[in-house]
Amino acid sequence: MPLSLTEESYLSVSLSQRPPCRPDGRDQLQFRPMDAAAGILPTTNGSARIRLDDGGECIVGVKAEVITVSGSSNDVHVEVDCDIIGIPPNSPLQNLLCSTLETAIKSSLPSHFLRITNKYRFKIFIDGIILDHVSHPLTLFSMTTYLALLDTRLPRLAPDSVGEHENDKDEIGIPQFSSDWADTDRLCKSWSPPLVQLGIIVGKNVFVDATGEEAEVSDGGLLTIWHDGRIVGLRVVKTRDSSKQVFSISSIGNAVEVLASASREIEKGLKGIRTS
Amino acid sequence: MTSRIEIYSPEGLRLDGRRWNEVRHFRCAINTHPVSSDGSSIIEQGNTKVICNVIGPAEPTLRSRALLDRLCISVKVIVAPFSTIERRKRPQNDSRIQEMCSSIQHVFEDAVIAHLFPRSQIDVNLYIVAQDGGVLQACINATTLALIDAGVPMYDYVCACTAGMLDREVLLDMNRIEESDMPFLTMATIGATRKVSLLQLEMKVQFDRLEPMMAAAMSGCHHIRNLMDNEVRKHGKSRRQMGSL
Repeated sequence: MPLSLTEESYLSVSLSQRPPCRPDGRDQLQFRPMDAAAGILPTTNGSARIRLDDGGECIVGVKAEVITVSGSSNDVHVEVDCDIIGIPPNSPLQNLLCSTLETAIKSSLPSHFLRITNKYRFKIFIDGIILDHVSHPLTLFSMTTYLALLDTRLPRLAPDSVGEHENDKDEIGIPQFSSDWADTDRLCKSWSPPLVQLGIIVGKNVFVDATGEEAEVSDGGLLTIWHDGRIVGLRVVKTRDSSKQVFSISSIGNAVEVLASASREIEKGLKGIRTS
Repeated sequence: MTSRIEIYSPEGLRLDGRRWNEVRHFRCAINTHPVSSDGSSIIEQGNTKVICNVIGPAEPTLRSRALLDRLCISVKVIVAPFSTIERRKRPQNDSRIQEMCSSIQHVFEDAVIAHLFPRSQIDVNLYIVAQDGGVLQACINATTLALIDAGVPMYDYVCACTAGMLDREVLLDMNRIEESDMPFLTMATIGATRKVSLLQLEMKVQFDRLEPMMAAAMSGCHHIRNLMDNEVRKHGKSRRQMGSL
């Protein structure tokens, strides 16, 4: 429901105050309670579900397929796709979600993680369904993808089909995998997936996990890509149709710092969830 | 029919160790999404997993859809690309999905007491997140539970079950491998009665073998009704203890 003029001005004044005052009394860096679970789907290599307090929910399943490549290319084959219920396919929002995560994962995942032999590679498909969303679904989708990737396991080659030496691996034809699910490697053994965080900017303040109403009065949104303990990407996004998208340099600098510390906390929280 | 895998052993055991008349592991929960919908449920039958959200009864979003004398139900089925063994992305207007939507819609238009809610609409969203045979039956069972959670008056539970025929042996509640190997039917009954509200058979089967299949499917439906009823009563009891009723 659109906000009335009075409501809008009340919200924007209370959010741009210093210190700010959010309608639900939260801190700038405070998330609403959420409910997360990993390893929920038996037909996937890794899966996760996160549900927010406002009813927003996302399920992500990660599947790996074996593909052939010509020569020794170093491409990372990852495809991110998501279905947002209630929004037609190929909408700008869906494209933003998929392309942001796909670029972030492709640029941070080392290609040798998906290497089987010199001819065969794993291709990772990350599919999400956003069952419902009230606030912007980007952070929700990114967190669920992060958790699903933490849960992802890739099968190892069957021991009897591989020779003694590492080089013999390239000689075998079609790869044969071990049929034991315990005999698998975690995709995130020595890699941690990127985490995208969206903050909204109101005046000089930045807020994480904004509700729909807060986004309605924002000047714009800033998304940061967090990987390996630092921010590696930055982008300004529209959070409402009539947003100005004009920020001062100092507010962006401040926002990046705030979002970085939010990402650090979220990453710590997600890593604590038991995966299968 | 010939197959590499032994579907039914001479000792009377199936691939997953069940007897012919046993249903798969059945787990259900209601009121799983209390914030985002009016009624919700999750059903797991074996490895098939379906989430159902019901919104309504409410004023229709499109005026033209309203019926003057009764409730209108619109069903949407979303199949996750990761639900099958091989990843496959289906378009929303896939003909099989459309057919499933319309059969679920027809079943529930007769099962709910529709004249109590003229000019209103119920939206049923079904998310198939894992499939291993018996998708239609899981969808129907999930919709029943979600409608009960939403407080929509119904004549009785609608419960669905599948049964197949391997040579002369009837097998109840089939998984994906069994489904691909033999003719099977999906049946939905109104509660634990002998009233059938849906019967779907898409393959050739000898006429005299149809009856034992239907009898088996019906007993499966009655069994599933009891399982769902237990869950609904358990949920009701816990709600009462919490003091919310």
